[in-house]
Amino acid sequence: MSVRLALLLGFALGLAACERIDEPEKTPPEEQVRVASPQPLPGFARGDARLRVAHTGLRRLDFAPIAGSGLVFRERITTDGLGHYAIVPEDLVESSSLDWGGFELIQHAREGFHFRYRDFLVRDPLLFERNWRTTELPQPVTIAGRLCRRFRLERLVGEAVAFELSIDGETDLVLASDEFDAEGQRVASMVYESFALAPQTGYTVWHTPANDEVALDARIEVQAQLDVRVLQPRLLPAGQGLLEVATVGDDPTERWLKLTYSDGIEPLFFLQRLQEPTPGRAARVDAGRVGRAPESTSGVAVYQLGAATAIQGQVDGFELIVVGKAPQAELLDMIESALP
Amino acid sequence: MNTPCQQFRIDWLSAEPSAAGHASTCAACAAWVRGCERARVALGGLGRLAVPAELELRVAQELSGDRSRRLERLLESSVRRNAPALLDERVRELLSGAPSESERGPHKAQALRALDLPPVPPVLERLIEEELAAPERHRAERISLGRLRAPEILTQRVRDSLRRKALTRLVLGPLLTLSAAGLVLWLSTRTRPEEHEYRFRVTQASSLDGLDPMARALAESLIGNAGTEGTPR
Repeated sequence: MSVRLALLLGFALGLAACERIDEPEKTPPEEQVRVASPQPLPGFARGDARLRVAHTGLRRLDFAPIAGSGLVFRERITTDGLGHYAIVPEDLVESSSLDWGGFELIQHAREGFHFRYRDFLVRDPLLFERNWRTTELPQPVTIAGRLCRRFRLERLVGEAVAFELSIDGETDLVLASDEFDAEGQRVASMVYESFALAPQTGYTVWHTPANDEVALDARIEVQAQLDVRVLQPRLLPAGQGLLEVATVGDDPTERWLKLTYSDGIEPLFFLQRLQEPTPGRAARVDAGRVGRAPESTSGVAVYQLGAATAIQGQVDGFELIVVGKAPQAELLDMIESALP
Repeated sequence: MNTPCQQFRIDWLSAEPSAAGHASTCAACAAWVRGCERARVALGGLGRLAVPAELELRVAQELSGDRSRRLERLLESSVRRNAPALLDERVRELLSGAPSESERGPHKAQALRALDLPPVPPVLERLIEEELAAPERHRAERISLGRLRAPEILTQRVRDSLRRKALTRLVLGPLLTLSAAGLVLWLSTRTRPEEHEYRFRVTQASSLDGLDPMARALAESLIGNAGTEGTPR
């Protein structure tokens, strides 16, 4: 195989060498853009403007299809600038198979998650600065009557995904965002269709968490804060760093440790059910196992949902769930690196 | 060094025209200027180094965004452990006697040997063994650029070049296309996900039915998809 490859490569390179290479064309001045890094972080990367700017707006969200049709709908977001927020679905614009009643219920149930993790947000400025290249695009745009600066963000590690943002010049709120996959295809977009500052919030029903989430101190060893044995990954997907540590659960008898990682923008979750490992299920691992069939009775199942990967299973008696927009192999490595 | 000398040296390094007179009255600055000029001449005489060949490979590797840098990633992302207090204590004990330079090396080695070193993560061992078992395969992965899209300017350039060389195009075009197609085919088959031996069984789920409602809600919310069940944590 390697001989054939060498011949093929040699032939292709020989042919390529016969071609003349012209001088590169100069980029027209109007297409030149200004690279913002490594200048100070732009305002949208220095905190969550939604939490400090009281506003309301109707926004349109468009998600590319995974299987079947895509999903386009409108929702109203309202914040009081003091940490309270509400996201209410308004209407379905496009979907061939979705039932509006069920969809509305699900959106309500996931309101907190959407605000915290679905909407574009720079979740860690240091990781953002390290993993993303920020370029300010030349032409400002008007979104919902607000003059916005435009930015393009490109991830420098892992898959080359990108975002294009329209940032309100006065408040640093993200009034439009487009997400592109590594192929350059748009996979999600959000745009405000209306916008108002300091809204009347007398009738707004603010979000209240449906589960009991208890934040732990991420600076202290997690094991020292919990009574049961916990796993912590030692090999993270490219560019990721620890963002939050918490325990969650609706039922006091069934609690999970939630480790949230991020590359600065995208979140990644590592959950472990808080119970002592099930006796008798620990894997027996042969030191020279590479190249042999695994002897472990542990197992995980991998689910692919578009760009997101979810892995769940029981490994060495620990019940684990990992969810994130990262390649499956990196998430499996992450799980393996957490094992004792 | 006083302020005029400091200011003169800053101006001189910045090639300010005002930095002409001071050196004629200050011997220290005159000597400093002569030293700088000698260094400049010496550095100017050095040959210019070529860009290392590895640079192109590393750039391609970064742009491809694949997972070929797993070993480096492992080392970069490993949790940084602080030196245990015991190490400080033992080093302090060993060095408190102010040993000579020749004695320090063995002392340090002895101190390090005495520590309880944490074991290497098993995943590191596996990744290194896999890479050592098939170095060509891993090297080939690093230069794969299949996921990048060709810029418009490249298409334009290829089109212009082919137009100018119509005869060449007629003869070499099909051959080049076939070669490129073969290369892309080979790369695409070579860059399929590897079969790894994990410490646990890995199965690919064909449907979402077995997925925990919480995990499903998390994944669907991440991509904006709306499922039919589950609540987020």
